[in-house]
Amino acid sequence: MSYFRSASPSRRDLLRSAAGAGMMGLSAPLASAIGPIRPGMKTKHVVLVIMAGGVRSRETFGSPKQIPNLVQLADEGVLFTRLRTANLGHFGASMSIVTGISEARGIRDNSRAPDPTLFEYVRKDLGLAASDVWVTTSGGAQQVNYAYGLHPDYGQKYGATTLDGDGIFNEEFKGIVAKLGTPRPLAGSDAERVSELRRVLRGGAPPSAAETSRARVERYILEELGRGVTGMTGAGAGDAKAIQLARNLLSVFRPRMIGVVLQQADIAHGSFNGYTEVIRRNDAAIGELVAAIRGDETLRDSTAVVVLPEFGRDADLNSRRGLDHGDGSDDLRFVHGVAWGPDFKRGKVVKDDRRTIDVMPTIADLFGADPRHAKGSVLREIYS
Amino acid sequence: MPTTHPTEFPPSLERPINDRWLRAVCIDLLGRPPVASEREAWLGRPLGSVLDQLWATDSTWKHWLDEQLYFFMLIDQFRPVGTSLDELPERLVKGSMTTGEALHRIALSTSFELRNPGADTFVTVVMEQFCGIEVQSSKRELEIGKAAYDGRTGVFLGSRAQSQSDVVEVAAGHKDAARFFVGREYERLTRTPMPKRDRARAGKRLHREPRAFPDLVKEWMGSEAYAERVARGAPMSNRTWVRAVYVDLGAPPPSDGTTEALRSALDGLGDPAPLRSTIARMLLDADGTRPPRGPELKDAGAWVADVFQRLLGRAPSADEASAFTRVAAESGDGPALVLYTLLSSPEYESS
Repeated sequence: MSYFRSASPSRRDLLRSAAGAGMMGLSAPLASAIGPIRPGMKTKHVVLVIMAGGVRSRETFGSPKQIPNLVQLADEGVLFTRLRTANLGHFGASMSIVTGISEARGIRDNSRAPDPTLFEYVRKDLGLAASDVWVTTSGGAQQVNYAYGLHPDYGQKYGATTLDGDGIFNEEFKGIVAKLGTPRPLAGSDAERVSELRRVLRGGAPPSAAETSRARVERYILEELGRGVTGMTGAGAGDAKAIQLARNLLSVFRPRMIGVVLQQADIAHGSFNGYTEVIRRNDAAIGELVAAIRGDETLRDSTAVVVLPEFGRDADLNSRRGLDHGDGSDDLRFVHGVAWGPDFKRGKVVKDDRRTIDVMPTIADLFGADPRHAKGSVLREIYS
Repeated sequence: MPTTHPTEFPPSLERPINDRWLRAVCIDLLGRPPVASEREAWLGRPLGSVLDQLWATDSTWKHWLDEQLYFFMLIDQFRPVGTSLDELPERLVKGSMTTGEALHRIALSTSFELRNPGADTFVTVVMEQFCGIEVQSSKRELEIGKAAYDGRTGVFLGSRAQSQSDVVEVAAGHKDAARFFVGREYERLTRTPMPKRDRARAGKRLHREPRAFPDLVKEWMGSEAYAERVARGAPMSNRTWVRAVYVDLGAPPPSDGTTEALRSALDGLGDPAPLRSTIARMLLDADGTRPPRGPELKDAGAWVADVFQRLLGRAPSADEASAFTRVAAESGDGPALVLYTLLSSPEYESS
């Protein structure tokens, strides 16, 4: 018996089934109707890349040859040279970027924030579907907590759809899939039977929006399992997978918002060279992401990209010739950041102090969403 | 759609255990539902007696250790494999080691050091995860701990320390550590925060009687808070779900390697449901976990009733019994479709 199993569906199958076929609630279009986010604005999509893991400005804009793609983005957009961070640990500092609130979180705290995230504000205020707002990560279990917080007015129903590149596409999992066989989507009378049983189990209620969204995500996962993203290896491979997933998601779902949270620069604790290699590789992957945007007719003039680390690293090397993060120096507390997009100024450099928590209200403003609980301020100087 | 299940109040350790209780207790203490032989042996026995038997097995302590490693995020490339930590479950079941000593050993492991590199990260994590201290408001202690980590003498959390291992020893033995530990374990098992006064009392007891942890858990599982958890159902963690789906399809629990690979993939999604659905379908078509064909069922109605009881801990409603029995009996693939529907249902995910 192999009625559950077949080769992965082709991208055409995915698009066709998601766009039109009626099984398992896949009748909705791939993304909500695409129009400008706000009247008078050109931006329709935003990609936020958090280069978490601790990245000093010395190894980014202080060494421009290492990051040619970020330099090009800065030349064509807005460069912030002094974004103040809070040393809350990687998790807390990255969380503060997506909530717009500096709040203490345990380094290994594997729980959601009490505050709403950017993704929830955007989904709730704009009425977006789960497939319109994504987060891709590389830091494993802890990072899926960025998808949504615990605020009673927001929460899971407004959360981003989250994928961790190194988790879902780990080699061991790929081996199990190869051994058991990739299942095909249910079709025909089998799908009808399951649909009927689910209806009975729900007490006759119709499927929820979440169920419909899950079916589409399941199809996307099957598609990704058949792609090369699973085979990436080497220093920074997890980060590269997260960026490549974002690239693939942009082309398949054309979401309004993608957050990309990286992590692997933290190899710096024990290897300065490994750390700089991760930065170079991430710059190259961001370059490929931007090239894909530039090469796509519908994304080219309607997509904004924002890149920033969550904090820097110590001023001096540690005894292992690596870089920790805890000395309170300016290298740790201030980072550079870039904003590039059709509604932003070109070639502007902001040298005054701004905060990493200001980025979230700025993106929310771009969407016309109201980040009611955020403490950051909108960076209005970036608008052209 | 039933979302909660009636349970008797007040709960009692003497009350005979039913399917729903047995499933919840096994999921919480073994990290999986009962296998067929356990179900046969324990159904109808008093809850307290089943708990005593569970704490006398390596499997319960192995699951406890897995949960602690997950709490410290010692997973994926940081998961200790083939190290001295492997002997902890055996020593815990024999009583030659306490839970506090086991946590101390975890923090001294290479995996813990690799996971938390550098003085700042290491001392922060030790303060946060052993004592529940918010370091942002205890910066002085953090600086003293960092100095001690680097070999300088200081008074860290009230005790003298001058090395990395001293930092761990001081935090692990601190009076707040037992209180913090019982609080997080109570919450893990009952899915509700522990009242402050109870936490202080239980923490004091564990500090005084370091081997009292199984007794405390027994007390908690006989409480109203745990009865409510059973009635309400509780979402299964990804690791538990992986083991549950194998066991519920009649296979032995999967190996640690398979469990971790699937757990890691599932942890990669904010909402694991789509991938859980995919994995369920893969297993329904695999040797060892493939269900019987429709025509092989002697009594489809009885089979459906048994599947509901085992997987959801309840009997099907009349409508459910009718619809599921019809599908189970009408084609060869019927039983697989029934199982797939149940395994991918929100109710199954909250056992």
